[in-house]
Amino acid sequence: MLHEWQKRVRESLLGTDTAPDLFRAHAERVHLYREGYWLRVSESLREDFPLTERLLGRAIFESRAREFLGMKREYELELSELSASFEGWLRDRGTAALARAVTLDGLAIQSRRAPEVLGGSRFGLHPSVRFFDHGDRSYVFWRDERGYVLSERVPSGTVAILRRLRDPVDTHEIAERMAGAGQDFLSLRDTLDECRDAGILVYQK
Amino acid sequence: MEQAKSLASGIGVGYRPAFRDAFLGATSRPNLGWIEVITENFFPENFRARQTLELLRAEFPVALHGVSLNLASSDPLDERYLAQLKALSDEIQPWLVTDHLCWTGVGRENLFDLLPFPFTAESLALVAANVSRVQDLLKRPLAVENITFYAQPAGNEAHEEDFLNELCARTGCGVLLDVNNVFVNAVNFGLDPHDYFRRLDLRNVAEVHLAGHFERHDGVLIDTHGAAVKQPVWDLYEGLIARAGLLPTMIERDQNIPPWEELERELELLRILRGGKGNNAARVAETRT
Repeated sequence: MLHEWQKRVRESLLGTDTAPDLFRAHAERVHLYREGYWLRVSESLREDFPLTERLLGRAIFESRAREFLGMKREYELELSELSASFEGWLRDRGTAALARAVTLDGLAIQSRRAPEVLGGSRFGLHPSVRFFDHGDRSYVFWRDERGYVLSERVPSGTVAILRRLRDPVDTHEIAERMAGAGQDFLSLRDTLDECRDAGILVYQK
Repeated sequence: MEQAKSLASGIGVGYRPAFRDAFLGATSRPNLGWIEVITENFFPENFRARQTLELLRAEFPVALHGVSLNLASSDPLDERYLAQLKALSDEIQPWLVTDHLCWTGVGRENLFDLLPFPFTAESLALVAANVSRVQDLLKRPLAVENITFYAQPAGNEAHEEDFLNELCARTGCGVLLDVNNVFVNAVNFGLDPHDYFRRLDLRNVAEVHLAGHFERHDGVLIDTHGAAVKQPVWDLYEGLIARAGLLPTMIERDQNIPPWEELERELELLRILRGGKGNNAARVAETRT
């Protein structure tokens, strides 16, 4: 009985069952839970996808978020996992520009979660390194004694340090700057120019 | 539970990242008996937070307060969550581990909210089994917190206080008593909040929460944790400690997080309230004006 009741409450909160018999007092207040769910989820997604929201505009972003929530049936333990699902879902449905914004937002999310130590001294210099892929690009994120570093790996072995960071959260700042300048964020040449112009250390292996 | 209570005493606060400098900066540490952190924020993947927690626990006894155990869901407990909770608990050795008397999702769908459920024999058996499972895994008692609810589930067969008393009797768990939640529910459903303390077996209370709430235009109170503790909640708290003694008590704030100095003033009011006899809530009211 409890399982059936909870399943119906779930449907009610997601907007497909308004059955008033689920509650015996103040059933009309169920809307507080419904609004709370949407606010919590949409705020979290907007926080994780600022560039995507800017590109789409708030109304369209929220419309996409509602569509995503209506379709998904995976279990996410945390709101951060919901963002990861949303990222893939958006990328599959967008234009190249949208995919780029989503990728940038996704990079920022991943770098916030990068573990402190993964692997050995892959560069011979850095005590903690993490590799991750987005599309056909490969990235490296690591932490050394001076802070956090986000870079792109390229076949020649050259590593362009996109930014030396005090804190992983600052990757939002990179994304904002790159997108604001209208650059192809992941072009190595542009990246090197950007780094030089900004006085950012570029390390070549 | 008595053993857990003996590990921490006095007043605490819910640690939030905004307080980092005040807690871990070069200047003197806040005068606190313990702190509480949100469990899920310190799971292994959040390595920066874990570093901070290491520093905090060197300074204060820590309580782990979770929001995702989903104790009253008809879904099975989430094994991945349990593994992370176990690892964190073993590493941090908290003085208390707590979560909520609620469900947060069903059918493998997380609803990201603390939801009420009908208090029945079926739900009692389910929650008791889940609490026992968690306690066996952690090898320490759990304390469960009373939540706010805005609509009463159909099929309720018992008062929440009786449900909690029986849950504690069956499992040996404790209660994290949120006084603000008692007040909010009482106002929203036209109840006398003092009845709650008369029914609840206060010997099971391991920790007390105090927080602020928001009053909507239609008079419904919303548990926001976004404001200072309101005077009626202080009054209620004074009644509680008169009955149950100086239980470990903390103030939690999750929205509109004020500068640490402002929260420290609120903690000072709590100290005043706990420090003497007579109508201390009135003294608190005077201090605030």
